[in-house]
Amino acid sequence: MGLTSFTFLVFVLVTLVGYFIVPKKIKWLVLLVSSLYFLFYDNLTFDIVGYVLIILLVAYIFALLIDKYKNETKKAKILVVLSVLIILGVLIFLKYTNFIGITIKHIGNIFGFSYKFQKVYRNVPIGISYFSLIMISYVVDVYRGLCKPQKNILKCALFMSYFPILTSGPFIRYKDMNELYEPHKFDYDRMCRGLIRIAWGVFKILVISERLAIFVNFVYANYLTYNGFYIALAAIFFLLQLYTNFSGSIDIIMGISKIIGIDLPENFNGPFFSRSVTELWRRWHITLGAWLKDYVFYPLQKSGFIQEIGRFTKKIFGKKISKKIMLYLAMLIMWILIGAWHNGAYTFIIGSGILQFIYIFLEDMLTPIAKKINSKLGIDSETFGYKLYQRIRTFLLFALAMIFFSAPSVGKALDIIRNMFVWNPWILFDNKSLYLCGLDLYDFRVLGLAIIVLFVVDYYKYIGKDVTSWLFKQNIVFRWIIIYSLLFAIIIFGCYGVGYNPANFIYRQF
Amino acid sequence: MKKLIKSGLFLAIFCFLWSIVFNVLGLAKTPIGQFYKEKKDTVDVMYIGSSNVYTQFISPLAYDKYGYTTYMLTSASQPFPAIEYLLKESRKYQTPKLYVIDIAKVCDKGELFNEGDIRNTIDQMKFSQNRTEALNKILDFTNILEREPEYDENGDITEEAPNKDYYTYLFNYSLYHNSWKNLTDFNFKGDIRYYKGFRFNSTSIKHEEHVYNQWFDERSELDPENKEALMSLLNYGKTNNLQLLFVIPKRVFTDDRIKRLNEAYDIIKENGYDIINFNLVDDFDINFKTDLYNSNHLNVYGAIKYTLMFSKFLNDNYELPDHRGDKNYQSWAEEYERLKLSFSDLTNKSFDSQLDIYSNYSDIDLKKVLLEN
Amino acid sequence: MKKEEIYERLNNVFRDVFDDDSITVNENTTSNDIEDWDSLEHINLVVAVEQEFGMKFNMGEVTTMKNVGEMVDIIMERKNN
Repeated sequence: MGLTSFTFLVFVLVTLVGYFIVPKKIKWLVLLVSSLYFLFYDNLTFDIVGYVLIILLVAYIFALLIDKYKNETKKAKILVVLSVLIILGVLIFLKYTNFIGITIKHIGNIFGFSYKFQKVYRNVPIGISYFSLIMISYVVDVYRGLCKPQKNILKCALFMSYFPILTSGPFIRYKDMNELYEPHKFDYDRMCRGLIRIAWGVFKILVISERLAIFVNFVYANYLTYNGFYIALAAIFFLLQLYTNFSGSIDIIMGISKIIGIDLPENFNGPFFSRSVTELWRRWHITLGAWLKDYVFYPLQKSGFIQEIGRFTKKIFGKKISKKIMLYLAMLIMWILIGAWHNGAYTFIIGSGILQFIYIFLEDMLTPIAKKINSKLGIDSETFGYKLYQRIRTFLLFALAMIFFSAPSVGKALDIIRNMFVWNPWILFDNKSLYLCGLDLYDFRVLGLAIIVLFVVDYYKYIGKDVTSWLFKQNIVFRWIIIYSLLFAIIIFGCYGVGYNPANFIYRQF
Repeated sequence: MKKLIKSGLFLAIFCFLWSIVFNVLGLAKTPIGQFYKEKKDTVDVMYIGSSNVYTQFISPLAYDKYGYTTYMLTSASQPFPAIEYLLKESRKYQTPKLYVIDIAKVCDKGELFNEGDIRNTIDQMKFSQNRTEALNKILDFTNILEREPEYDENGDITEEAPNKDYYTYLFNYSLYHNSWKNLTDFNFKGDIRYYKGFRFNSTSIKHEEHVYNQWFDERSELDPENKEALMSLLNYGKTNNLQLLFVIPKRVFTDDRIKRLNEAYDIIKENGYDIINFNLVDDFDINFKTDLYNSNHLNVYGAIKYTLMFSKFLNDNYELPDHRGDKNYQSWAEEYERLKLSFSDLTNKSFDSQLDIYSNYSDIDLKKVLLEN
Repeated sequence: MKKEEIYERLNNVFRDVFDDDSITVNENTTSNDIEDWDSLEHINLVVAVEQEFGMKFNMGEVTTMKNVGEMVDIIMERKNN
């Protein structure tokens, strides 16, 4: 169900009412039933149920076993590795078969083998890319002694399928989700905060993301004609579209979960105010980064493989450089995995993987040089102007990488980038060229205003202030004016209804 | 308790703001939407039907001549089953002495109507149980939620698939909200091309070979859903003791439609109601060079002829009051003046002069036609 | 092993890993207090501590330790058992 659809609204209302009226002891059961309904909505087939059950049962049973054998480290290790491999296996089978097949075909072609590969279309459970990794983190955390396994399989199932997570995450950790099973009473204040968050998310999606999509889709479908600055603008718009879509979805589900009484970890923290791509990834899809750090990056860095390379290179290059080599090797592997997680296609592995690694690597290499230049030239790197330059640079670099993210193939992405180098800046100023792409003057005005509001709110998030709390401190009249403005902005300026496609969740296919 | 009051107040203000926004930005109101603005119990005749109604009968003219008010509850391409619900809707606000019902669409099957046709009627109605029932009936009749897009030989789409989400029909607030980009008189005053439901075109087409079918006497079965709707309408009229008059407009119909219309004609007569088939009125002479806006509709000149003829018939044969001079009915007089002004602006002729030219149409004896058939 | 001894050897490890002779850690020191101690350097530090004290942290401890005090507690536990 689309998060901005009427069906979803009814679903949430029923769930909330059900949750708050049933007796305390079975409140969590209401969440379980709703979550399973959402999980299997429009997708109730034997194979789907099968895959879900495999992951659930493997995680549940192995967690209990690992805990039982926690003093026999060898047995425990075998169990955890086995469970991780099985769950990963299901994920790879469901989502990466085509990628693996095509890669083998390409490799085969290089060596002269002609290998036919027929693409398969598989029906996947919604949220598989999230809950499979979440269950892996569950088993591993039990192995690491960070939490006790859940003895009740139904409660375990609730953790795995908690419906707010299924659309776009965030990645939750079992040890932080005790609240899932605690009964929560209805709280008026929580409801108000949750509703505002939901409205903010809907605003981002319907007013900004869907509107930008019109322009982006048009230019990318006609990029040979609409080249140069059109493409540059489309790339910038696409990044904003992606951000508002993704973070808007997160806002909606966070708001819903807040009303229930369960707080989920944040995924975004004013990313576009980052002064470097390195910093950006601490503010963008935060829980993904955290998951990878704890379950891939650290284990990788500490692993024998990397440590051996470290010892080897230390002899040749010295300690400092060998540390860097260890770091960047582990990081490269991690980024390739991040790219692959987004989708089994080279565009994603490059766009949200390798390119990001290159950016971060170059930033690390060039920062000391930049510091030297700045000090020699007397440039103060803490001025507003300098920070602005850094932020714009970060944004543009990220937007460039996202061209790969949105293109259907690497070749297409490169072609689009090639066509970007056409000198036609007048299209931005001649008062008509921009309106040929599906948006008119009014749309641009709405976008301009909405994006300014977005950045203002995000700036406060960046510096650590909570806009919702600020809003609640205001007097009721001012507060209600703001809320009504938000609601009616969605109603009047939102892109929905006849003529618009229902919100396309770019992160939903995960 | 305080929180409950706060929430209630918040919602109340929200609904209030919502209604303002949608009155301004919602769909421009056409006759059905504008109907709700009429003062309660001021309409003497409800004239219900499809495009042949609003192009033919000049209600402000009837008011000026005889003093009774006729409101036309019409929309383009109105599916026949909608009529009963429109009739019910009108009874919530008005107590007309007579209902005139144009049955031209009774011969058209559900699949001939598209999403726009449904919305022309349904979107204009106020949200109510009656509207919901009308919507469900029409969706069922047209089977629109199951429709696929239509393609031509090249594989290009000729007709888009309609909206499949039931809720966008039930709650039409989501649509047309784009009108914030171009606020015009249509948003504030409603579609000003309508005068108490009448809308005119002053242009005429030149049809050299245009000929009305020779009406003939065969019958064939109505489409079952239309037949059911007709029976339901007739029964509703009987149960509620309503005075109904049915009309078949003068129009080009295909042969198989003529057969179905004849069947409907018989059914109506069998149930004790009057019906006039204007295709059988010899003196109702339509000059296909000057009186037609397109092959299916009269233009304003044709409408003058029709109105002079039909309004007199209504006045002579039904007990209708004369409200001329009554301040309560001022809007009817005002609309007539506005109409005349609009007419002379468009055609450079005076409306009164046209009435003189066609004055003989008042002399056509429709009662004779009624009794003969 | 005594706590003072651990802290003395730990200081050396920190100074070595972060190339800063002025670093002195106490039980409340966290990654916020040392400029280069971020998630990228964390493992290097952990491995260096492991090598210095001849023990191993498990991954659970690596990902959840909040300050130097916790680190020291774990070292004590390992060395004194």
